[in-house]
Amino acid sequence: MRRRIAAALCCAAWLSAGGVAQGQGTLPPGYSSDMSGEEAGIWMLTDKQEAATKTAPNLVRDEKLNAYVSGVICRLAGEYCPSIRVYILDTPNWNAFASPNGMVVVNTGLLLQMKNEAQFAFVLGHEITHYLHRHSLEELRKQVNTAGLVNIYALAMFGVGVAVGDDPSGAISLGQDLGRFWISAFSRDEERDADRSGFARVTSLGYAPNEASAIWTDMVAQNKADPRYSRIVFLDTHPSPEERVENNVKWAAEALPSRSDWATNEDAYHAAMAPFLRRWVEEELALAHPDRSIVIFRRLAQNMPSQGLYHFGLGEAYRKRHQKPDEASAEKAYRAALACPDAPPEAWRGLGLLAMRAGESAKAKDAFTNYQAKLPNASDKAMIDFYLSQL
Amino acid sequence: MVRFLLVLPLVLALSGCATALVAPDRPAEIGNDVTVMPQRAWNRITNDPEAWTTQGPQIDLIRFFSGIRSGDALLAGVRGSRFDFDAKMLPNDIQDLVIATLQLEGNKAVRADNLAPCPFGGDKGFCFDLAFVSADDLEMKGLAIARKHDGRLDLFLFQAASEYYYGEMISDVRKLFASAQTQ
Repeated sequence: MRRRIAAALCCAAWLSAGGVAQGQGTLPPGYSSDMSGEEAGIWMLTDKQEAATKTAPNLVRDEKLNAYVSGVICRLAGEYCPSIRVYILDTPNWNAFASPNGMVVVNTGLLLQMKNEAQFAFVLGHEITHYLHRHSLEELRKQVNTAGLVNIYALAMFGVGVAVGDDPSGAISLGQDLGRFWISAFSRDEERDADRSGFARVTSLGYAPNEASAIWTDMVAQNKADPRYSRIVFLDTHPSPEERVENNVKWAAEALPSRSDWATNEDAYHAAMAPFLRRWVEEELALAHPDRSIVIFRRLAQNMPSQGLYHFGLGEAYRKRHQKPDEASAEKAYRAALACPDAPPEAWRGLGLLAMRAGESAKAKDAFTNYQAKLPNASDKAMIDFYLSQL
Repeated sequence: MVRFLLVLPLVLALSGCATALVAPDRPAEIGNDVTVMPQRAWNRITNDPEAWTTQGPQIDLIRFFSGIRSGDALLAGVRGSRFDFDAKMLPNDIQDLVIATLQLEGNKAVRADNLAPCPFGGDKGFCFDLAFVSADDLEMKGLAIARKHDGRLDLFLFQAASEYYYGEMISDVRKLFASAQTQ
């Protein structure tokens, strides 16, 4: 067994020493695969994905929002703009990705959670770098070569096992794990490249450098609050959020002195998102992960205290967690929402439900009455009438 | 041959457990104290919870959750405050519980609407509509009807593909839910 582990480690050393040829090219502007080379398969696959995305039931077709998002990405992409197509998907998870054929997908969950245009630009800058540096192609090459090596290694171990009459499955499995480890490590390096090059591209347009690390600081806080969050460091395809905070803080310190007119374009960003916030807040809540929603809405409400929808989202997340100590926090958040000019009437309903659960009839009656006055045709009017009849 | 004959009854019994016909126009018992009268034939696919389908559970599904106690989740093996029933829950909270459960099953964009009081087997209950995208990316619609009884929850949950099936079935499902007899 010791001999097999040694052989596996030799294999890993060869891989990490560059046993697989590396090469990275930046895409020429206007590039399109000729469909006969090694990347033809990826292009065909992503073309198919793009065709499906165009008819996806959750594709956001709003012209103004699409124009805003495309405008940001075009400024970042420069001469590559004509080759990039943006699709916004109504999906509450924080994500965006770029495909090798120039398709860029942005989830509404990302749009909800970004503080300003600068933060959004750093995410897009990262994704554009994946496209420009052809990371998908590089990863495919790595996977093909690594799979070949793992197979050769597995055959060798099988041969040794047959020769000595021993079970080689453990050593074969070790070889497969090393292969996965190697591919993951390569993927993390691509992500680091996308972070670094994306940062340079975005700051060259005058976006505030500190906003990049702020994204990952928020992500660290969110992960800590999420009981489902876990990661296996060696098999993770991305660097840790902590590493990304550290890198971006360092790059920002280097970039900051170069100019004094850094911009976040916060107002433009929120003006573009405002019509959709209500829906996105509801979708985040519908994920039924109140622990994470509490972190998100607490942060959003701190960033924009005048935005009642964020306080309302926070109140709803606390109420839906169904934990005793949360009730006071929920009430506080609902009251903060009601103090805002855009107060959602449902904040009154939330207060009514809290009071009714606590057996505070007068308080519940007052809150439900306010809710019905603000939203007389609410879809749950009959239920609220019933509650009122019980108080 | 002898071994085959010994195994055959077991195979037949197991396959009977997997799907059994629920005959129309004959009372069907749900749990210990609820009976319903189906208007059409269904296939019973599980009995904990009691679950029926006509075309397959990805297309249409009725689940009858019966006698859920405080601290229990709708789905076995799932724990956590947002998935546990609590006897103090109001209908709005139970609506949230159903949303969380559907979300946990892999459904997306789960939305509930039209929460209202509804009779449940002669008892006071409540009902609400559902809409979501299934894990298979099918657009689905649903209807839930529930009651709290002696601190326990009885909940009937219907879901079907919104294209054709929901519209074709909902009238019978409403009759089925309305036929509930409680003890």
